[in-house]
Amino acid sequence: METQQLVKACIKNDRQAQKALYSKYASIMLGVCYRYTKSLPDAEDILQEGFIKVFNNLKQFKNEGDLGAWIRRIIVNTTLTYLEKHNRYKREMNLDDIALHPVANEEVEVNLNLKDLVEYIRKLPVNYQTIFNLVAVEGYNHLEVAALLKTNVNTVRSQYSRARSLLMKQITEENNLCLNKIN
Amino acid sequence: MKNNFDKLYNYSIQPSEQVWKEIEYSLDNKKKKSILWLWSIPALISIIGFGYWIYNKNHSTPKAQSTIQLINNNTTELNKFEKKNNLIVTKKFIKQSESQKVIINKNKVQLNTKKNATIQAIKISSPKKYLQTKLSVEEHNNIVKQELAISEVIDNNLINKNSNHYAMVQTSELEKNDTLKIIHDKTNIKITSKEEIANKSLLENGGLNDTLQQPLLPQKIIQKITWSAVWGGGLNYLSRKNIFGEDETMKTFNTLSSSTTTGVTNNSNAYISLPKTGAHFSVGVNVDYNISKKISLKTGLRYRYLENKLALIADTTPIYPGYYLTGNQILYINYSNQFELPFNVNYHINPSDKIKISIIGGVNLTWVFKDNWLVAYNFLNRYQPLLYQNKRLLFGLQTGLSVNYNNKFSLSLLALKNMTPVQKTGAKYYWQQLDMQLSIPFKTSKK
Repeated sequence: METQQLVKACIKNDRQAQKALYSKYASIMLGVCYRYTKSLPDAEDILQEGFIKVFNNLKQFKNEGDLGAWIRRIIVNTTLTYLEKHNRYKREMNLDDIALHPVANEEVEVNLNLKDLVEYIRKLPVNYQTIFNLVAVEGYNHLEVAALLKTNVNTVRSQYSRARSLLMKQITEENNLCLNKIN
Repeated sequence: MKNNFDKLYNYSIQPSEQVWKEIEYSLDNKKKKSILWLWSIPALISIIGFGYWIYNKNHSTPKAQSTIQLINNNTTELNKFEKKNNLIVTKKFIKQSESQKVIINKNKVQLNTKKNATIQAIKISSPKKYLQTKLSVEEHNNIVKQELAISEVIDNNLINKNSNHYAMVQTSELEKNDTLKIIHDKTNIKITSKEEIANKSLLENGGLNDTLQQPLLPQKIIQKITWSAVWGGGLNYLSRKNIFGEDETMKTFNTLSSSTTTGVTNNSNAYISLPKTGAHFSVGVNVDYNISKKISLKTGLRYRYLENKLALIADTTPIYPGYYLTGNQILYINYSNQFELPFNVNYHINPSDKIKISIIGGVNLTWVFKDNWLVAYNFLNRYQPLLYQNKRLLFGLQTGLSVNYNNKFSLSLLALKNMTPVQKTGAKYYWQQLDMQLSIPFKTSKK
């Protein structure tokens, strides 16, 4: 079934079509949710909430762009709302430029598999994790991220820079530790 | 490393089957919810309609219900009626005693008949059918008190000084063979029970086609209630308050970027990320309960629709430190659907007979039942749906002034400050509203 037909069927509440659409995008969208959260159950909660929004708002999709990108935007927004709503994330979601982590400037070239990299990102503090995902992975510019997080561009710039540095630092330290063990 | 980040974009994990089951369950429930939502509009209309019906039931003049009928042993001719000023005035009562007329003035009941005439049944209807509910068993055991009870229950508003009106003695509350003594005429009226009246087939004979009805609320309360339709509109303003003192974000909150003619702004990047000002309209019903001439309580139910927009010229590209190119616009939009339940105390001042000025103060409960906060980017041609959604109950303080003209309409200016934040993102955001309302009573009544 083509995307356009699939969307039309989903709007008509065709359960088979809805399941087909879900099956097509669920795993990649769960990957998105997983990168922003600290646990898989949380990611699945967001996925569930996000897909309900997708089905309820599918009429707004005008078949002009990529359906996957449209769904991803909703999933990302749902994730941000979830982080904002739940205290265990909210507490860490400090977007002011205080208590910043040290900056390491050097770029590090390390061979990592994708899963490890995701886990490193998930170990970052929530605010760094969120901004890093939005900028480095989703490709939002700083201004967009500032709008999404309701903060200013400077904060996003500095926090992204620090998130990136912290990530590098963590990866380097872990790798050095591994190398030392091997040696 | 950058390649790795790019690959992350398509990183995927297979969700458990439970997720789809829960989505399916929610979609089924959503259907039911949307059906319920469709029902809420007619339900609201029904509530308003029911209120209007109660009001009319107790305030309106029945079309042809004002009758008087005296039954005498010697009755040979039934009553004839003629419509006059919305009242059916008995032209001729009983052939053999035409002079028998029950006349009710402001607070007296008179029976212009031959002294000591005995009447088996009396039913006198007035536009206010419930007037006689005041008659109690205790009272009717005492003849004099009973008469006073009748005079008490007559609604002065309905008594036209220059004409005769007829009120009804509710026989159902009196016992058979009770007598009612009218002091002025010293005439005894023998009361016949309602059942007996029915047995005598008075309904067939005309004049008693109007059964007695009890009011749904005590008459004293009903008389003090005014229902009115209300329409309003006004402005909203979103204020930010950080209860923990000023922080970095707070400092930049009020320094909105301003673009110059060259398209360059020297403000680093400060902007407000929520729609700050907007407009609303409302429609609903007000209920006023008059405690005294000076003080009344007001409540009601209003539907309010808000729309707030904020377009920002945002900075993006640095030219040199502290200076940025402008031109990109972000549009923040808030659509909100609310139900409002005000609880106000009004203090009235009457500068003239026709004009009443009221000082209003009280609280306001707002149920935000559908609220969308959206962000649109014109430069990216993007539209972000469902950025935030709030469903919550807001508590606010309300004050204002109202001018009422001859009970025909009133115009109010109300200021509302919500004490519950509409948004909590580091700092708290509160709505303040200025509202102009026009309210028109469903039925005007004299002061």
